[in-house]
Amino acid sequence: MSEVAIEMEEVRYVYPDGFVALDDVSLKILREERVAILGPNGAGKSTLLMLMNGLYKPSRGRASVLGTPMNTKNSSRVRMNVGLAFQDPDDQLFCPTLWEDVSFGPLNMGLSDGEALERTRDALKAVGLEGYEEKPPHHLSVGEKKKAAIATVLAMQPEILILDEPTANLDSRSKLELIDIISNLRRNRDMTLITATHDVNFLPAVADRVYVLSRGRIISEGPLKKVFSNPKIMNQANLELPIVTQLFRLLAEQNSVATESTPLTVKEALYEIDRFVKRDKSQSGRNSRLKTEIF
Amino acid sequence: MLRAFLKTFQEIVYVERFSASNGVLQRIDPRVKLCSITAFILSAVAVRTVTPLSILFAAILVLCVASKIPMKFFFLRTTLFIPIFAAVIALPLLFITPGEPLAKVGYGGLVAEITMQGIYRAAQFTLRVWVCVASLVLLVLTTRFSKLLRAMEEFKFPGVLVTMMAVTYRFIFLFVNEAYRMALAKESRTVMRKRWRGVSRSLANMIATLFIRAYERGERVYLAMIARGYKGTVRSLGEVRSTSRDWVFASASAIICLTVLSTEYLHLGGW
Repeated sequence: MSEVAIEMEEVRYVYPDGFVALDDVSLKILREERVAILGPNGAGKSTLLMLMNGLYKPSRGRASVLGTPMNTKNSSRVRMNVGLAFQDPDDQLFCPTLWEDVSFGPLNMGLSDGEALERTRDALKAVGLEGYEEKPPHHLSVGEKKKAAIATVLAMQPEILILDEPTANLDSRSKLELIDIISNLRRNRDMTLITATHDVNFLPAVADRVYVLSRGRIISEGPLKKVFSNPKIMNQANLELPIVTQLFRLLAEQNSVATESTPLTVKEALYEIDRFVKRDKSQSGRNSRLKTEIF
Repeated sequence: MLRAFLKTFQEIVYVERFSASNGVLQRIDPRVKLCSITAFILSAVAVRTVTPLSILFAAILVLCVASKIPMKFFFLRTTLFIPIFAAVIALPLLFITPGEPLAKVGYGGLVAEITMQGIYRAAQFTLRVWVCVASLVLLVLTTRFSKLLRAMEEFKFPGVLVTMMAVTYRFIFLFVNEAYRMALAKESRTVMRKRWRGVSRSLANMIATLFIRAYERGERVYLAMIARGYKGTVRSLGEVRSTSRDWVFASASAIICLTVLSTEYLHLGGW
């Protein structure tokens, strides 16, 4: 079995009106990796995700999912393995009740009623929407709709889960809940997770590696710390650094706090501060001993 | 005005609270309900006198009470469509039906006579439309839309029709909300009273924008369906079973319809 989840080589996508959404995009995402596609609005993130799901076919270049080349013949097979949760959950939820929406995918896969029922229950449980089965989607809050949209994809048990701007329009509490759900998913199922976002503060919670997309082209790729340590790239992509990273960068510039690595999250920041304080204490202790010896 | 209209429309459409209550009709199998209501409508169409229509209307009112639907709400909802459509169509009947003249309306050489038979025909037509509308409203108010669609599926209605109805029902709320927000945004930027021409132009722009948004959303919804393996047909989960209660209701509905039809065709009385 292929160790590569998604591979693209020099992919170009042109919309029917001639707009070039993606150009010369090459990427390789391994199985069980957590990868983010980072880019500002209109960078081509959603188009790239549609290509990954086989909804769009590349105008040029090659793409494959789990070793299967992406073409019209294989699109059904690709979609069985790649679950895509759309940016606007209202696009995804079109049935009169949540139950029907979540069971839509498994039933389309040709599963038996019993199996589809079990998967629907499991998916709703995984996102914490048990008891919402009979609710119509227009009665749900934005946060609940986002969770429901993820459930509709989870019910298909895809090997690759793609989330398009999962934190868009969410309040901080709903964001935390979503991070919790995604973390649990990763813990319980060995799936590849691809997240497209421009929310840099949310990124460290869902990705280890990042592709930075700007105007349809990948301008940088690598581990989060490496990419975030290059302010030029972030500027080029019209993106800011995470707030914690910005703070530590400023502190470093003022020579107030010098850390070994730039923290991306509050947890990492806490660790770095703790190390710095301990180091500082031992240093000042050594200095005072020196003073005593001299005088 | 547009905002008020959209608000009223929202209130009329958001009626799911009744289908969740514990009334008589709410507990009946949607397939049985669909058959019974269809039988009521067919009976209403088949009769030509007021008495059988009144019997049918009385039966609907009894079912309405048994289903815990407030009478005031039910009347408002059913009469909303009658003055607009039925009365407009029935109005000429007052004048064109030959018979015993009751009053004259008009001025100078343009005088029309209202006849007794005309009034009867107009009342009969309006009542028939009323009964049909009331039957459908009763069905919609007491049945969850998803169950209604399921019943249609069971009766082998074309899959495309059922899917289209499901999607329409799902997105009508979204578009009404969207139109409401657009009207609100327009109003927030309106500082001077506009002339009719200006109002109609901005209304046309709004409708066009809404149409484009609806079209684009339609495309995205279709892509989302394809992404989850949609190949043109929608399967539903679970089995629908009828109980003895459903059979009792079906029998009662049949008796009502038979009574209505025999009153008409066996001339058992009334006018």
